[in-house]
Amino acid sequence: MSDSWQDAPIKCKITFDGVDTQGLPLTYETSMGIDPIPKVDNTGKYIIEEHETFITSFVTKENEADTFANPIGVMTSNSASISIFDSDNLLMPENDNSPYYKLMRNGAKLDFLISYDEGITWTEYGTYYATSWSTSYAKGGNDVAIIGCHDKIQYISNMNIPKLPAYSGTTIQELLVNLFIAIDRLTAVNKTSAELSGDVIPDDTLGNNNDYYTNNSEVAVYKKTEGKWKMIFYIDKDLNLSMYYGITVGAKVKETLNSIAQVLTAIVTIDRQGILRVLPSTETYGNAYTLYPEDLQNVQSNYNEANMYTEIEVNYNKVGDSTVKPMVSVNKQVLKIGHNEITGLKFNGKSLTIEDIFIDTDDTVDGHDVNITYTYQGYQDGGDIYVENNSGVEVPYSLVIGGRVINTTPSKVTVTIPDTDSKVKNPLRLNAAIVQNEDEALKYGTNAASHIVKTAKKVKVLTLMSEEITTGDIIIGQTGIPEFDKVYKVIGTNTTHGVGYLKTLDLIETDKLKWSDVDIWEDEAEDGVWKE
Amino acid sequence: MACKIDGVVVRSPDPYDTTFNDISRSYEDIDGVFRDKLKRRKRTTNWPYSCLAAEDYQVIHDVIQAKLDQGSRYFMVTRESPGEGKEYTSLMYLGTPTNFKSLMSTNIDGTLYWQVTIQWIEVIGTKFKNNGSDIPS
Repeated sequence: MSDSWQDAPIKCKITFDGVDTQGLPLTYETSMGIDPIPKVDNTGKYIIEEHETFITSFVTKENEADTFANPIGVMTSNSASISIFDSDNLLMPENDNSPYYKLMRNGAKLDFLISYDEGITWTEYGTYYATSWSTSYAKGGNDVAIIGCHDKIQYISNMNIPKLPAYSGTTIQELLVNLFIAIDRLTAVNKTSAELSGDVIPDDTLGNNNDYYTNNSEVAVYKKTEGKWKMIFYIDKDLNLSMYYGITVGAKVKETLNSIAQVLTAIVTIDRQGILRVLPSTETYGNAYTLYPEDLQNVQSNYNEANMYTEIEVNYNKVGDSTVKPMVSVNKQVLKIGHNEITGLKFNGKSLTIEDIFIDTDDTVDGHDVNITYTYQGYQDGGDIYVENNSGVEVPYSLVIGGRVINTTPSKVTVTIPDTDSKVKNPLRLNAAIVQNEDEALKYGTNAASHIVKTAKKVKVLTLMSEEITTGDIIIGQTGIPEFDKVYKVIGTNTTHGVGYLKTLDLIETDKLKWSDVDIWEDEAEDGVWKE
Repeated sequence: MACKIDGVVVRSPDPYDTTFNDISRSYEDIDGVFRDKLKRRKRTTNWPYSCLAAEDYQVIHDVIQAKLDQGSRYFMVTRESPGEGKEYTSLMYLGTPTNFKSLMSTNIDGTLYWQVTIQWIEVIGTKFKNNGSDIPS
């Protein structure tokens, strides 16, 4: 019998986009699975609770990536649906007596906690944001409020790419760190008007500042929250690309992250602690759990849409001339005191990267030391530069932007997917605009082929295993069915909480164990289960 | 020992009639074996009074009516457990039917007698961990 836990108590705190009379954020708290403690007066008489709230149902769906549109995976958000009973009808959007009136709308934040020890300690169980809200009223009373919600990926996906700091030559990891810090600033709860307008430039990302701390050895970003450093972004250090990458592909966050993640065959996901992670798509990164027959109701194996491809065709932009060239120059202009915008710059030919921005000024002007800082936003064929002139005087300047130019001849490489039937040849065409040379294109094609092989067959399990299991975890099958007694990675979960507890797991086979599961592997080996 | 409703001592019912209401998660596993995971056990208790004197009836009636007037059917109930020599206090929901029936209009000396039936449904009961019960073991 497994000792896994189901039906663990859950708490939910909703934080609305408003404040109470004391200026504190408006919040609403409710729970499920916590036994009420009856209140009695000194005569032993039960005191009637005036206000009652509890969760009647809670369903979560966690997925690493959506592979329907692209077998390599498209970034997708986790989602949840919660039904809450409130005796005072405080969660009906039409109730103008509710303190949350007009605030029951998309964007309300839902923080979930779960307890695996009957309410003694509580663990983060995901942060979501409301995307739908419905209630009904019938038979003289209100029905439950049903709130649909998604994690942060859902709403940062459609944001425009924030303005990034200027740099000359970078790695894809640095770019992601820059991007994530910029996104976090734009989505922070206490936003300034400048941040809301998107005009805030992130600090120099690899120089640590008061709000963020970057740890290059593990490629992680920490944010100071209530006096403590908390990890907010993590990028697997093995994920890198030997390339220059100065300008993001696409105008929106999801286009940029998808283009990067696909080329790295990585997934972009938010874990239950709220950490946004970029991780290898087929490797495990969580804990290990054993699947016993008594926790298993149904198991099915199926080949998905990825199985129909026989080869990978990578279309990329081969850079023939990798020297840095001047792409645009501006002569004999004047920077006014304070903020300057040099917008609408058009490059000579399509740039792949901006490698250098050189603003030429004198050291002093009229006895003032020249002090200017700048940032830029680049596009494939142009860019905008924002200059802060802190010199206290107008400064004459010249500007030169250097960069690499895209080779106009598109190139491609083809990689055969092993163990496929060549007579039904069907290439999967992948566009990799950010790949610049044949070696990287081949590496991408090989990784993509490996990804297809590993993910083409999925196993779906209907089980009563614990709520603790999430994407990236390892499932060690001890089902008694030889065909399914393998090691799997969890790529998706669907959990229904409550008396009707049920969990479905989407699994792919994995040959790698990682991190904390090593001990478990050894324990199992002692039982003679593993023949390594 | 005494039976109490919301702290008020009432006559003990004539026979005790308790059933166990088990909430469990039942399913058939991958081998087709029936499994039953007990989640919670609650008692459903009938309190029948075949013949109550008017003053005993009045005590029971008044304490129940007072709570009903407040719009609630929840009571703190203390019940004896015959044979065990113990008593238990727990939050109970007043089930239906709750029946107050006069046996006769009057008897010779003018006293009215009542037949009463009360049903209690335990609200919280005992919670079991998920590995607490499994059939077959």
